[in-house]
Amino acid sequence: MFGIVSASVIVLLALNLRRALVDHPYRARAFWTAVGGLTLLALIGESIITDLTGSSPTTSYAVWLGGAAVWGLIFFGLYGWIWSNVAVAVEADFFNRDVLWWKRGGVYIAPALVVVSYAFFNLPPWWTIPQSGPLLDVFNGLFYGAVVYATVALAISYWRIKDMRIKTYTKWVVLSIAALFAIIFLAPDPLALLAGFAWFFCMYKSVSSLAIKTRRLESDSGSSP
Amino acid sequence: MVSTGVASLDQILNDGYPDRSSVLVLGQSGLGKQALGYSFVSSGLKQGDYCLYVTHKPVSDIIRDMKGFGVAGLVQPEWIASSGSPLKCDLRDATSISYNVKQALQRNSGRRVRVVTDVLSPLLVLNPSESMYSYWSQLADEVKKYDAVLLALGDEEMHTQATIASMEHIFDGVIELKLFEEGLTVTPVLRVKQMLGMPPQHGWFRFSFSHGIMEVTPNVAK
Repeated sequence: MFGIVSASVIVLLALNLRRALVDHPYRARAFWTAVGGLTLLALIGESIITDLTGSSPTTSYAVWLGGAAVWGLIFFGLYGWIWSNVAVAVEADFFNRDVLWWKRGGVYIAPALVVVSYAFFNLPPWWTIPQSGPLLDVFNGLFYGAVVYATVALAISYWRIKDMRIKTYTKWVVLSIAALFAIIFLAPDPLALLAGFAWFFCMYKSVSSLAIKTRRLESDSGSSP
Repeated sequence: MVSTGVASLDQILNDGYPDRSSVLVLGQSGLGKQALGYSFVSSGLKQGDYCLYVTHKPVSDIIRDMKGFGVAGLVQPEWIASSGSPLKCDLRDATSISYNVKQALQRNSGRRVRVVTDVLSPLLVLNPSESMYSYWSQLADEVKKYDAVLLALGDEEMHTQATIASMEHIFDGVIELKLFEEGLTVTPVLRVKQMLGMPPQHGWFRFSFSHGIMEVTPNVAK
């Protein structure tokens, strides 16, 4: 329940900001943050589906479609969120430096890898390619490679950004991704639960620092109009 | 008066920015400062004014952004940009930027000139504040010698309150953009904090963009 409420708050906050912001990279970032919140909901949904169907392979078309939709959100939501943050971080660099060839190819190649790996992991149940062994490692590697590449690009941009607000925001995004990786690699160890709380905290901090909002508009005389 | 390029903002400013003035637009990234600059330039190009866009970004980035707002036409302003223009904008060399701006003003002394720049905040961050106060003061004074208006776009959150206050004194006009949070909704608002020839303004105005056109709604934000 805590996860559902937190994710819903993230989605609501981010969509509100998307409506208010004007410039494209910032609107895109708010949009993908909302999708990131939906990803969180998708993860929760996925665990419910797994509980209902068990972990054994199924040939049910409806269950496959549901799973593909949920994993679509997880794959593209996670990557899109990181990608939009790199776009803003690169935009915020006064000297327009290209971090890790991001502008010269990375921005297209990494999403392509995510699409390919998603397609592999969500093949229809009647497809005969075995989703295990070395092939699984290769496609796992493609997805994690794209995510790690974008995360490293984001981390480098973080060091370069002079705008303290965007710098703070980027810091929480990088920490959120680090916490997410901690969950993936620690599960099912109980420490993964700690990483989960760290993830929620970092996500909340990143969303709340997405833009500076004011509840009180001061007039020139110093009082509210 | 020189039209801002936004009809509803012109109404608030009594027909636009004052002649021979420098105006500072303050607000956080993503809120629409650049769009105000694009509208100003686009309006100037339509009227046959000489327009100069000084940016630390590549020309291609600005044109793409302008297209997003539907203001990129066949006629383009002259550029001082990090790349894609004959005149280069090197943030490490503030002197060359102001030199090129002054040269452009001189070359077009018989025409109305509109200058838009987004280098104010980067230069303030990269250089000592005192030298930048003098730098922008000189540039603002130079603009007054010609039939020109300078629109400088600044990121408020990058600087201290003291720095912002000092910069506001240099410019003839200050327009401030903010995000106003009312319950669960967030609204972009602006106010004319100061403007040459106008009494002090106290009202905040909501603004929005529809198909690239900025619309300022008078006197509703409290």
